Amino acid sequence: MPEAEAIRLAQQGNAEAFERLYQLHSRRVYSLCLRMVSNTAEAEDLTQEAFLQLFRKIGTFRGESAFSTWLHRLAVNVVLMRLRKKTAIVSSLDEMTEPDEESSGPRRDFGGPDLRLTGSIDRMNLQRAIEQLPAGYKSVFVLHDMQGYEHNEIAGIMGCSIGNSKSQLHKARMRLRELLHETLRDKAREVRQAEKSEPASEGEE
Amino acid sequence: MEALNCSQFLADHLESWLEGVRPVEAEAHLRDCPSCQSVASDVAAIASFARTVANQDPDPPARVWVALRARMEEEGLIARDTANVVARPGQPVSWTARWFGWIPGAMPRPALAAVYLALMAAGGYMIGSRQKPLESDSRDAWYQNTHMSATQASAVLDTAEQNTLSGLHEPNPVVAASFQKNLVLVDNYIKLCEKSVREEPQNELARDYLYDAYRQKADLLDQISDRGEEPQ
Repeated sequence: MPEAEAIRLAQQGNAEAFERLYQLHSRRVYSLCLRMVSNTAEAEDLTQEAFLQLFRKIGTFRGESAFSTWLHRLAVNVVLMRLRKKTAIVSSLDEMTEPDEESSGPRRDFGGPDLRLTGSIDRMNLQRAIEQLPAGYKSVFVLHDMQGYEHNEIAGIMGCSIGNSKSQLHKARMRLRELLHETLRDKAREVRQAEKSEPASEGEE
Repeated sequence: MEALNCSQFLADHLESWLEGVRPVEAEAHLRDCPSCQSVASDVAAIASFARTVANQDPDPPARVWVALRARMEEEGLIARDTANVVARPGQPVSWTARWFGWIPGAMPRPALAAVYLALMAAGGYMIGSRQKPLESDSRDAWYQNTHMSATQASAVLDTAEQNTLSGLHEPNPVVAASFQKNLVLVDNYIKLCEKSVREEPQNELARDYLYDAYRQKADLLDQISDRGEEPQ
Protein backbone atom coordinates (compact mmCIF):
# COMPACT_ATOMS: atom_id res chain seq x y z
CA MET A 1 0.00 0.00 0.00
CA PRO A 2 1.61 3.34 -1.04
CA GLU A 3 2.04 5.99 1.66
CA ALA A 4 -0.54 8.40 0.21
CA GLU A 5 -3.16 5.65 0.12
CA ALA A 6 -2.25 4.57 3.66
CA ILE A 7 -2.67 8.16 4.90
CA ARG A 8 -6.07 8.47 3.21
CA LEU A 9 -7.29 5.17 4.66
CA ALA A 10 -5.84 5.90 8.11
CA GLN A 11 -7.81 9.13 8.13
CA GLN A 12 -10.88 6.91 7.82
CA GLY A 13 -9.76 4.73 10.76
CA ASN A 14 -8.43 1.78 8.74
CA ALA A 15 -6.29 -0.38 11.04
CA GLU A 16 -4.16 -1.85 8.24
CA ALA A 17 -3.34 1.63 7.01
CA PHE A 18 -2.14 2.65 10.47
CA GLU A 19 0.07 -0.42 10.58
CA ARG A 20 1.44 0.35 7.12
CA LEU A 21 2.36 3.90 8.18
CA TYR A 22 4.00 2.51 11.29
CA GLN A 23 6.00 0.02 9.20
CA LEU A 24 7.15 2.75 6.85
CA HIS A 25 8.37 5.18 9.48
CA SER A 26 8.88 3.40 12.81
CA ARG A 27 12.56 2.61 12.25
CA ARG A 28 13.56 6.23 11.73
CA VAL A 29 11.41 7.47 14.59
CA TYR A 30 12.75 4.78 16.93
CA SER A 31 16.29 5.54 15.85
CA LEU A 32 15.75 9.24 16.52
CA CYS A 33 14.32 8.51 19.98
CA LEU A 34 17.11 6.05 20.77
CA ARG A 35 19.80 8.57 19.87
CA MET A 36 18.11 11.29 21.86
CA VAL A 37 17.55 9.38 25.11
CA SER A 38 20.07 6.50 24.84
CA ASN A 39 17.76 4.11 26.61
CA THR A 40 15.88 1.38 24.77
CA ALA A 41 12.88 1.23 27.10
CA GLU A 42 12.40 4.98 27.00
CA ALA A 43 12.94 5.07 23.24
CA GLU A 44 10.21 2.46 22.80
CA ASP A 45 7.89 4.48 24.99
CA LEU A 46 8.62 7.67 23.06
CA THR A 47 8.16 5.94 19.70
CA GLN A 48 4.79 4.70 20.85
CA GLU A 49 3.84 8.16 22.11
CA ALA A 50 4.92 9.88 18.88
CA PHE A 51 2.86 7.50 16.74
CA LEU A 52 -0.11 7.74 19.06
CA GLN A 53 -0.09 11.52 18.74
CA LEU A 54 0.32 11.17 14.99
CA PHE A 55 -2.63 8.82 14.67
CA ARG A 56 -4.79 11.00 16.90
CA LYS A 57 -4.12 13.98 14.66
CA ILE A 58 -3.96 12.25 11.31
CA GLY A 59 -7.38 13.58 10.36
CA THR A 60 -5.93 17.09 10.34
CA PHE A 61 -3.06 16.24 7.97
CA ARG A 62 -3.67 18.13 4.74
CA GLY A 63 -0.42 17.37 2.97
CA GLU A 64 1.06 20.88 3.11
CA SER A 65 4.32 19.36 4.28
CA ALA A 66 5.80 15.92 3.71
CA PHE A 67 4.24 13.32 5.95
CA SER A 68 7.64 12.25 7.30
CA THR A 69 8.45 15.87 8.20
CA TRP A 70 5.17 16.15 10.06
CA LEU A 71 5.78 12.88 11.87
CA HIS A 72 9.33 13.83 12.81
CA ARG A 73 8.18 17.20 14.10
CA LEU A 74 5.81 15.35 16.41
CA ALA A 75 8.51 12.89 17.44
CA VAL A 76 11.08 15.59 18.15
CA ASN A 77 8.50 17.50 20.20
CA VAL A 78 7.63 14.38 22.19
CA VAL A 79 11.31 13.72 22.91
CA LEU A 80 12.12 17.32 23.79
CA MET A 81 9.09 17.52 26.09
CA ARG A 82 10.29 14.39 27.87
CA LEU A 83 13.80 15.79 28.23
CA ARG A 84 12.43 19.06 29.57
CA LYS A 85 10.30 17.24 32.11
CA LYS A 86 13.33 15.24 33.18
CA THR A 87 15.44 18.29 33.81
CA ALA A 88 12.46 20.25 35.17
CA ILE A 89 13.55 23.20 33.10
CA VAL A 90 11.32 24.77 30.52
CA SER A 91 13.76 26.01 27.96
CA SER A 92 13.78 27.03 24.35
CA LEU A 93 15.81 25.30 21.69
CA ASP A 94 18.52 27.95 21.95
CA GLU A 95 18.73 27.50 25.70
CA MET A 96 19.38 23.80 25.22
CA THR A 97 22.58 24.59 23.39
CA GLU A 98 25.79 25.91 24.78
CA PRO A 99 25.69 29.69 24.31
CA ASP A 100 29.40 30.34 24.70
CA GLU A 101 30.48 28.11 21.88
CA GLU A 102 30.81 30.62 19.07
CA SER A 103 33.83 29.09 17.45
CA SER A 104 36.30 31.58 16.11
CA GLY A 105 38.61 28.94 14.73
CA PRO A 106 39.67 25.39 15.20
CA ARG A 107 41.01 24.51 18.63
CA ARG A 108 44.63 23.51 18.70
CA ASP A 109 45.78 20.91 21.15
CA PHE A 110 49.25 22.16 21.94
CA GLY A 111 51.47 19.46 23.31
CA GLY A 112 48.91 16.72 22.59
CA PRO A 113 49.29 13.97 20.04
CA ASP A 114 48.17 14.76 16.49
CA LEU A 115 45.03 12.68 16.45
CA ARG A 116 42.88 12.36 13.35
CA LEU A 117 39.45 10.87 13.69
CA THR A 118 39.36 9.23 10.27
CA GLY A 119 39.37 5.50 10.75
CA SER A 120 39.51 5.71 14.54
CA ILE A 121 35.88 6.38 15.53
CA ASP A 122 33.87 3.45 16.76
CA ARG A 123 30.16 3.07 17.26
CA MET A 124 30.21 3.19 21.04
CA ASN A 125 32.48 6.21 21.26
CA LEU A 126 30.27 8.09 18.85
CA GLN A 127 27.16 7.05 20.80
CA ARG A 128 28.71 8.24 24.06
CA ALA A 129 29.75 11.52 22.51
CA ILE A 130 26.28 12.10 21.07
CA GLU A 131 24.81 11.45 24.52
CA GLN A 132 26.83 14.34 25.87
CA LEU A 133 25.52 16.86 23.36
CA PRO A 134 22.91 19.37 24.48
CA ALA A 135 19.41 18.42 23.25
CA GLY A 136 19.23 21.10 20.57
CA TYR A 137 22.55 20.14 18.99
CA LYS A 138 21.72 16.48 19.30
CA SER A 139 18.38 16.81 17.47
CA VAL A 140 19.90 18.64 14.51
CA PHE A 141 22.91 16.32 14.31
CA VAL A 142 20.74 13.19 14.41
CA LEU A 143 18.30 14.55 11.86
CA HIS A 144 20.97 15.83 9.45
CA ASP A 145 24.01 13.62 9.74
CA MET A 146 22.33 10.40 10.80
CA GLN A 147 18.94 10.52 9.16
CA GLY A 148 19.81 12.55 6.08
CA TYR A 149 17.34 15.44 6.39
CA GLU A 150 18.14 18.73 4.64
CA HIS A 151 18.31 21.98 6.57
CA ASN A 152 15.01 23.25 5.17
CA GLU A 153 13.31 20.05 6.37
CA ILE A 154 14.98 20.30 9.78
CA ALA A 155 13.83 23.90 10.04
CA GLY A 156 10.29 22.62 9.45
CA ILE A 157 10.68 19.83 11.98
CA MET A 158 12.36 21.90 14.68
CA GLY A 159 10.41 25.09 14.07
CA CYS A 160 13.58 27.15 13.55
CA SER A 161 15.24 29.00 10.68
CA ILE A 162 17.47 27.28 8.13
CA GLY A 163 20.37 29.41 9.37
CA ASN A 164 19.71 28.27 12.92
CA SER A 165 19.72 24.65 11.81
CA LYS A 166 23.05 25.12 10.02
CA SER A 167 24.57 26.87 12.99
CA GLN A 168 23.40 24.18 15.43
CA LEU A 169 24.81 21.45 13.18
CA HIS A 170 28.17 23.19 12.95
CA LYS A 171 28.37 23.55 16.74
CA ALA A 172 27.23 19.95 17.26
CA ARG A 173 29.96 18.64 14.94
CA MET A 174 32.62 20.79 16.61
CA ARG A 175 31.54 19.59 20.04
CA LEU A 176 31.50 15.97 18.90
CA ARG A 177 34.98 16.41 17.46
CA GLU A 178 36.21 17.70 20.80
CA LEU A 179 34.57 14.85 22.70
CA LEU A 180 35.96 12.20 20.35
CA HIS A 181 39.43 13.72 20.55
CA GLU A 182 39.18 13.62 24.34
CA THR A 183 38.35 9.92 24.12
CA LEU A 184 41.28 9.25 21.80
CA ARG A 185 43.63 11.21 24.06
CA ASP A 186 42.42 9.22 27.08
CA LYS A 187 43.04 5.97 25.23
CA ALA A 188 46.49 7.10 24.11
CA ARG A 189 47.31 8.09 27.71
CA GLU A 190 46.18 4.69 28.98
CA VAL A 191 48.37 2.93 26.42
CA ARG A 192 51.38 5.07 27.39
CA GLN A 193 50.80 4.36 31.08
CA ALA A 194 50.48 0.64 30.41
CA GLU A 195 53.72 0.71 28.43
CA LYS A 196 55.48 2.55 31.24
CA SER A 197 54.24 0.18 33.92
CA GLU A 198 55.14 -2.97 31.98
CA PRO A 199 58.93 -2.75 32.36
CA ALA A 200 58.51 -1.88 36.05
CA SER A 201 56.37 -4.92 36.73
CA GLU A 202 58.76 -7.10 34.69
CA GLY A 203 61.61 -5.85 36.87
CA GLU A 204 59.76 -6.76 40.02
CA GLU A 205 59.46 -10.37 39.01
CA MET B 1 40.24 37.82 -4.20
CA GLU B 2 40.46 38.24 -0.42
CA ALA B 3 41.92 35.33 1.54
CA LEU B 4 39.61 33.60 3.99
CA ASN B 5 40.47 33.26 7.64
CA CYS B 6 39.63 30.15 9.70
CA SER B 7 36.41 31.59 11.09
CA GLN B 8 35.11 32.44 7.65
CA PHE B 9 36.04 29.05 6.28
CA LEU B 10 34.44 27.13 9.13
CA ALA B 11 31.32 29.25 9.38
CA ASP B 12 30.61 29.84 5.70
CA HIS B 13 32.28 27.13 3.69
CA LEU B 14 32.86 23.96 5.70
CA GLU B 15 29.46 22.40 5.20
CA SER B 16 29.22 23.17 1.50
CA TRP B 17 32.83 22.01 1.12
CA LEU B 18 31.83 18.68 2.68
CA GLU B 19 28.99 18.46 0.18
CA GLY B 20 31.41 18.95 -2.69
CA VAL B 21 30.92 22.68 -3.31
CA ARG B 22 34.49 23.98 -3.34
CA PRO B 23 34.98 27.59 -4.36
CA VAL B 24 38.53 28.69 -5.16
CA GLU B 25 38.98 30.79 -2.01
CA ALA B 26 37.90 27.89 0.24
CA GLU B 27 40.26 25.49 -1.51
CA ALA B 28 43.06 28.02 -1.19
CA HIS B 29 42.47 28.46 2.52
CA LEU B 30 42.28 24.75 3.14
CA ARG B 31 45.48 24.10 1.20
CA ASP B 32 47.43 26.44 3.45
CA CYS B 33 45.76 25.76 6.81
CA PRO B 34 46.58 22.48 8.58
CA SER B 35 44.12 23.26 11.41
CA CYS B 36 41.18 23.63 9.06
CA GLN B 37 42.34 20.58 7.12
CA SER B 38 42.19 18.64 10.37
CA VAL B 39 38.70 19.98 11.21
CA ALA B 40 37.38 19.26 7.73
CA SER B 41 38.79 15.76 7.74
CA ASP B 42 37.41 15.01 11.23
CA VAL B 43 33.97 16.41 10.49
CA ALA B 44 33.80 14.42 7.26
CA ALA B 45 34.75 11.28 9.22
CA ILE B 46 32.11 11.99 11.89
CA ALA B 47 29.35 12.65 9.36
CA SER B 48 30.23 9.59 7.31
CA PHE B 49 30.46 7.29 10.32
CA ALA B 50 27.22 8.67 11.78
CA ARG B 51 25.37 7.78 8.59
CA THR B 52 26.83 4.27 8.65
CA VAL B 53 25.78 3.80 12.27
CA ALA B 54 22.26 5.07 11.55
CA ASN B 55 21.91 2.63 8.66
CA GLN B 56 22.58 -0.23 11.08
CA ASP B 57 19.94 0.85 13.59
CA PRO B 58 17.42 -1.88 14.38
CA ASP B 59 13.68 -1.70 13.95
CA PRO B 60 11.77 -1.08 17.17
CA PRO B 61 10.81 -4.30 18.97
CA ALA B 62 7.53 -5.84 17.88
CA ARG B 63 6.01 -5.11 21.28
CA VAL B 64 5.99 -1.37 20.49
CA TRP B 65 3.45 -1.83 17.72
CA VAL B 66 1.47 -4.30 19.79
CA ALA B 67 1.24 -1.88 22.72
CA LEU B 68 0.50 1.03 20.39
CA ARG B 69 -2.29 -0.88 18.72
CA ALA B 70 -3.77 -1.75 22.10
CA ARG B 71 -3.78 1.93 23.08
CA MET B 72 -5.36 2.89 19.77
CA GLU B 73 -8.08 0.34 20.35
CA GLU B 74 -8.65 1.64 23.86
CA GLU B 75 -9.01 5.16 22.51
CA GLY B 76 -11.32 3.99 19.75
CA LEU B 77 -8.97 5.13 16.96
CA ILE B 78 -9.36 1.69 15.40
CA ALA B 79 -11.90 -1.03 15.91
CA ARG B 80 -11.07 -3.86 18.29
CA ASP B 81 -10.02 -7.05 16.56
CA THR B 82 -11.95 -9.61 18.57
CA ALA B 83 -11.27 -12.56 16.32
CA ASN B 84 -9.71 -15.52 18.11
CA VAL B 85 -10.33 -14.03 21.52
CA VAL B 86 -12.09 -15.69 24.39
CA ALA B 87 -12.16 -13.54 27.49
CA ARG B 88 -13.14 -14.39 31.01
CA PRO B 89 -16.55 -12.86 31.80
CA GLY B 90 -16.10 -9.40 33.24
CA GLN B 91 -12.42 -9.22 32.38
CA PRO B 92 -10.93 -6.86 29.82
CA VAL B 93 -9.29 -8.57 26.86
CA SER B 94 -5.56 -8.04 26.96
CA TRP B 95 -3.50 -7.64 23.82
CA THR B 96 -1.73 -10.86 24.64
CA ALA B 97 -5.07 -12.57 24.65
CA ARG B 98 -5.94 -11.10 21.29
CA TRP B 99 -2.62 -12.15 19.77
CA PHE B 100 -2.03 -15.45 21.41
CA GLY B 101 -5.55 -16.61 22.24
CA TRP B 102 -5.26 -19.60 19.95
CA ILE B 103 -2.42 -21.19 21.86
CA PRO B 104 -3.20 -23.92 24.36
CA GLY B 105 -1.06 -24.48 27.43
CA ALA B 106 1.99 -24.48 25.25
CA MET B 107 4.87 -24.42 27.68
CA PRO B 108 5.01 -25.63 31.25
CA ARG B 109 5.70 -22.93 33.86
CA PRO B 110 8.86 -24.60 35.25
CA ALA B 111 10.45 -24.17 31.82
CA LEU B 112 9.72 -20.47 31.94
CA ALA B 113 11.09 -20.21 35.43
CA ALA B 114 14.34 -21.63 34.04
CA VAL B 115 14.31 -19.02 31.32
CA TYR B 116 14.01 -16.20 33.82
CA LEU B 117 16.58 -17.70 36.17
CA ALA B 118 19.04 -17.97 33.30
CA LEU B 119 18.29 -14.39 32.31
CA MET B 120 18.72 -13.17 35.87
CA ALA B 121 22.09 -14.88 36.04
CA ALA B 122 23.15 -13.44 32.69
CA GLY B 123 21.76 -10.02 33.56
CA GLY B 124 23.53 -10.07 36.91
CA TYR B 125 26.87 -10.57 35.20
CA MET B 126 26.08 -8.23 32.35
CA ILE B 127 25.06 -5.23 34.40
CA GLY B 128 26.73 -6.07 37.67
CA SER B 129 29.98 -4.35 36.77
CA ARG B 130 28.36 -0.96 37.13
CA GLN B 131 27.91 -1.43 40.83
CA LYS B 132 31.63 -1.30 41.51
CA PRO B 133 34.70 -1.20 39.33
CA LEU B 134 36.37 -4.56 38.95
CA GLU B 135 40.01 -5.13 39.76
CA SER B 136 41.95 -6.01 36.64
CA ASP B 137 42.76 -9.48 38.05
CA SER B 138 39.11 -10.42 38.23
CA ARG B 139 38.11 -8.94 34.86
CA ASP B 140 39.07 -11.94 32.77
CA ALA B 141 37.08 -14.24 35.04
CA TRP B 142 34.17 -11.84 34.93
CA TYR B 143 34.14 -11.68 31.12
CA GLN B 144 34.34 -15.45 31.01
CA ASN B 145 31.33 -15.65 33.30
CA THR B 146 29.47 -13.09 31.21
CA HIS B 147 30.09 -15.16 28.12
CA MET B 148 28.96 -18.35 29.87
CA SER B 149 25.84 -16.63 31.24
CA ALA B 150 24.89 -15.28 27.83
CA THR B 151 25.44 -18.69 26.25
CA GLN B 152 23.36 -20.31 28.98
CA ALA B 153 20.54 -17.78 28.58
CA SER B 154 20.59 -18.26 24.82
CA ALA B 155 20.45 -22.06 25.14
CA VAL B 156 17.58 -21.97 27.65
CA LEU B 157 15.63 -19.59 25.41
CA ASP B 158 16.14 -21.91 22.42
CA THR B 159 14.78 -24.83 24.44
CA ALA B 160 11.82 -22.75 25.62
CA GLU B 161 11.07 -21.76 22.04
CA GLN B 162 11.18 -25.37 20.84
CA ASN B 163 8.83 -26.40 23.66
CA THR B 164 6.45 -23.57 22.79
CA LEU B 165 6.40 -24.31 19.09
CA SER B 166 5.96 -28.05 19.61
CA GLY B 167 2.95 -27.32 21.85
CA LEU B 168 0.95 -25.47 19.19
CA HIS B 169 -2.13 -27.15 17.77
CA GLU B 170 -3.60 -25.93 14.48
CA PRO B 171 -3.24 -22.22 15.21
CA ASN B 172 -5.07 -19.55 13.27
CA PRO B 173 -2.69 -19.10 10.32
CA VAL B 174 -2.86 -15.28 10.38
CA VAL B 175 -2.06 -15.04 14.07
CA ALA B 176 0.53 -17.79 13.82
CA ALA B 177 2.22 -15.79 11.07
CA SER B 178 2.23 -12.71 13.32
CA PHE B 179 3.81 -14.75 16.11
CA GLN B 180 6.45 -16.15 13.77
CA LYS B 181 7.15 -12.67 12.45
CA ASN B 182 7.68 -11.34 15.97
CA LEU B 183 9.91 -14.26 16.83
CA VAL B 184 12.04 -13.68 13.73
CA LEU B 185 12.33 -9.97 14.61
CA VAL B 186 13.43 -10.74 18.14
CA ASP B 187 15.87 -13.42 16.95
CA ASN B 188 17.42 -11.03 14.44
CA TYR B 189 17.75 -8.42 17.17
CA ILE B 190 19.45 -10.99 19.42
CA LYS B 191 21.89 -11.94 16.63
CA LEU B 192 22.76 -8.29 16.10
CA CYS B 193 23.34 -7.76 19.82
CA GLU B 194 25.38 -10.95 20.18
CA LYS B 195 27.57 -9.79 17.32
CA SER B 196 28.13 -6.43 19.05
CA VAL B 197 29.06 -8.17 22.32
CA ARG B 198 31.43 -10.53 20.52
CA GLU B 199 33.13 -7.55 18.88
CA GLU B 200 33.26 -5.48 22.07
CA PRO B 201 32.89 -7.77 25.08
CA GLN B 202 33.83 -5.01 27.53
CA ASN B 203 31.19 -2.59 26.32
CA GLU B 204 28.45 -2.10 28.91
CA LEU B 205 25.96 -0.66 26.43
CA ALA B 206 26.37 -3.63 24.09
CA ARG B 207 25.82 -6.05 26.99
CA ASP B 208 22.73 -4.11 28.10
CA TYR B 209 21.29 -4.37 24.59
CA LEU B 210 21.93 -8.10 24.52
CA TYR B 211 20.34 -8.65 27.90
CA ASP B 212 17.34 -6.59 26.81
CA ALA B 213 17.07 -8.67 23.62
CA TYR B 214 17.03 -11.91 25.63
CA ARG B 215 14.42 -10.43 27.94
CA GLN B 216 12.23 -9.49 24.98
CA LYS B 217 12.25 -13.06 23.77
CA ALA B 218 11.48 -14.37 27.25
CA ASP B 219 8.60 -11.88 27.52
CA LEU B 220 7.23 -13.01 24.18
CA LEU B 221 7.34 -16.66 25.24
CA ASP B 222 5.92 -15.76 28.63
CA GLN B 223 2.93 -14.04 27.06
CA ILE B 224 2.18 -17.13 25.02
CA SER B 225 2.43 -19.31 28.08
CA ASP B 226 0.25 -16.93 30.15
CA ARG B 227 -2.44 -17.18 27.53
CA GLY B 228 -2.14 -20.94 27.62
CA GLU B 229 -3.28 -20.96 31.24
CA GLU B 230 -6.47 -19.01 30.56
CA PRO B 231 -9.67 -20.98 29.91
CA GLN B 232 -10.23 -21.68 26.23
